[in-house]
Amino acid sequence: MTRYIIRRLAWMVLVLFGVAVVTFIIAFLVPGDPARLYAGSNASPASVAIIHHQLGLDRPVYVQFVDYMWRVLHLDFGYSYRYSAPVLPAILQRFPATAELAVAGVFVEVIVGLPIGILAATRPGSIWDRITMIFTFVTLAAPPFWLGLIFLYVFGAVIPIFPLGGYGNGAPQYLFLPALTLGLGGAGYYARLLRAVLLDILPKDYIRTANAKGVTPGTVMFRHALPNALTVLITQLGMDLGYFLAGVVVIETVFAWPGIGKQAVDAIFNLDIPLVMGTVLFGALLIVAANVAVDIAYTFIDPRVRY
Amino acid sequence: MPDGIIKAVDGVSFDLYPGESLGIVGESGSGKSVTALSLLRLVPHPGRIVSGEVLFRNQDLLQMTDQEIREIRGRDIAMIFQDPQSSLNPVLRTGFQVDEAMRAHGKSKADARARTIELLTKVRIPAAESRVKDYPHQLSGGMRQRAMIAMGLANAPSILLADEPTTALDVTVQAQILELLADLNRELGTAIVMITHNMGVVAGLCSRVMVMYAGQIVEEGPVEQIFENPQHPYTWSLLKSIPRVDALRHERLRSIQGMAPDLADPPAGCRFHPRCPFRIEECFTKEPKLLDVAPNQRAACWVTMDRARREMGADTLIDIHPGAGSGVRPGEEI
Repeated sequence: MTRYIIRRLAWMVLVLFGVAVVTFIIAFLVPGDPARLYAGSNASPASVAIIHHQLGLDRPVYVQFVDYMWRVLHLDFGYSYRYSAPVLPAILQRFPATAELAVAGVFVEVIVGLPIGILAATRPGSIWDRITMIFTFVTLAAPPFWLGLIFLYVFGAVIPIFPLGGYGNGAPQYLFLPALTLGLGGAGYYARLLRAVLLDILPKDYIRTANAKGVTPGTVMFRHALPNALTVLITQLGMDLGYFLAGVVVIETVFAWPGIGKQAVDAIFNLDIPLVMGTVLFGALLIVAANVAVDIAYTFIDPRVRY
Repeated sequence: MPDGIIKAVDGVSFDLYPGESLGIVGESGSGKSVTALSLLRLVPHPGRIVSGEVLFRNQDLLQMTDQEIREIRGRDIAMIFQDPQSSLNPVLRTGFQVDEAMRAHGKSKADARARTIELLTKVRIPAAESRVKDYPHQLSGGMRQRAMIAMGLANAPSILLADEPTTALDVTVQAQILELLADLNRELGTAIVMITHNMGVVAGLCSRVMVMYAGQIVEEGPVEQIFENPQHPYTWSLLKSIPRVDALRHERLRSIQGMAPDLADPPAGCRFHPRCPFRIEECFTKEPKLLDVAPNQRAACWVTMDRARREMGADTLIDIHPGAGSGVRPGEEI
């Protein structure tokens, strides 16, 4: 098992290296001179040139690249052009808000999606099945920004139960709508996924054995069927959490949620390259870590899997 | 695939006496498993029981509420299945699964666990105390099946339905399991219904046997009698097709020509007639009923082997094919 973890960590490093290379290349190819931004719109070409040199942007590509990689390894993600502050601390400062939203989003996905999936699987072909499938279609197809705006309009303006976006110092009513928007789309997906997995599991022999013992349907579902569905679900959930943690840009933008996603969007518009690259790397780290965590979680869920 | 209703079990009726060991024999698709599953209302969707009754202790199981039938399952009538690898839940420990058979019927966790260890020992699983913590994939095939038997017997049921419990196992393990079942039948007085396609298993374990074909019972009676003097051509053919150690090397293996019928559209008359060596004209059009052919023995056949031997030289036939004895070939008018 230890060897497996070490192997996975090595893989993580490799992937992150790849991500770093790609982000660097993209950042390099983005048109526009960041020095301009740094200097301000009224600066003279001379000042821009000085700043250009100061930022080290006139050095050869490979030199910039090596310098960059070296610093990343030391967790120095550079300085934000816009804020004149180190990138990593800036990201870490906004990260808790994203984390809160991410966890809440996953929570909604599970709370809404799983019961629907179970309902649909235990009554295949019935009216319930149809209704739940329509629900999943709608939530899967609805773009998050549209859904978010509709929620804001209906529940923030027309019937003013919820605030119109923002963080509100962490008060729960501010989290509700963004989490709902984030989670509903995923809920539809989970409902379908669970339905499919359960429809595969329920006819199986060991379910028949459980029924033959006189076990109640509830216990059959929760003790026998769902644990077998868990590997599939956990994989997906883990990846989702990782993805959400990396910054759910659209939701954060619609709801003005002060997380790393919004920060990254702003950084892109500001051509704040170091901040963008920092967020990408940070996000990649989270996704990759979530991946590894899920794989390790397998060994606890499915006793047949051992590394 | 054309739509249609598949009558997996058509007009099956039988009695089971306390402590008896009844064998249900037939090929795949004969309806033997479905018959057993029907007794406990475990027929999988979209199948269902259309009509009939299952009388157990003067109550019709088919009329019971879901709650009532759940109480019967695993406690008064238990069922064990063919492939213990797939019939045991892979993510739950073996001990838990055996405990569950008892906990589902009111036993406490501690009592159930104590009894589980007793049962596993009784079914000859060594080191039962440490085995309870194992997952099914950590046990061998024979041990898994023994665990299933333990699960089935946990509440000392009156009837144990065993659906091909040895088919998925090695021959030597098969013998051990059958021996175990025989001992348990003797000691505990549990009636056993042994479903199998293997006549040898029936011969070793059962006192009575029911032969099924295409969803119907074609013959039933005491095991020795049936084996010595089968009256239905199907039973006779089955017995004839068992390879013999003392057969001469050049003798070919015998099989029954043709295939089991499509249950969505079974043959008219006797369902076996397309494959029967001794069919006569009735067989093509009229469905035979189960009638007494010997003391305690019944068969559903217009001809019966007695007549086939007397009039058609059944014992001396060399090339056994449909209509071989009677000379009635398909399409022939009589």
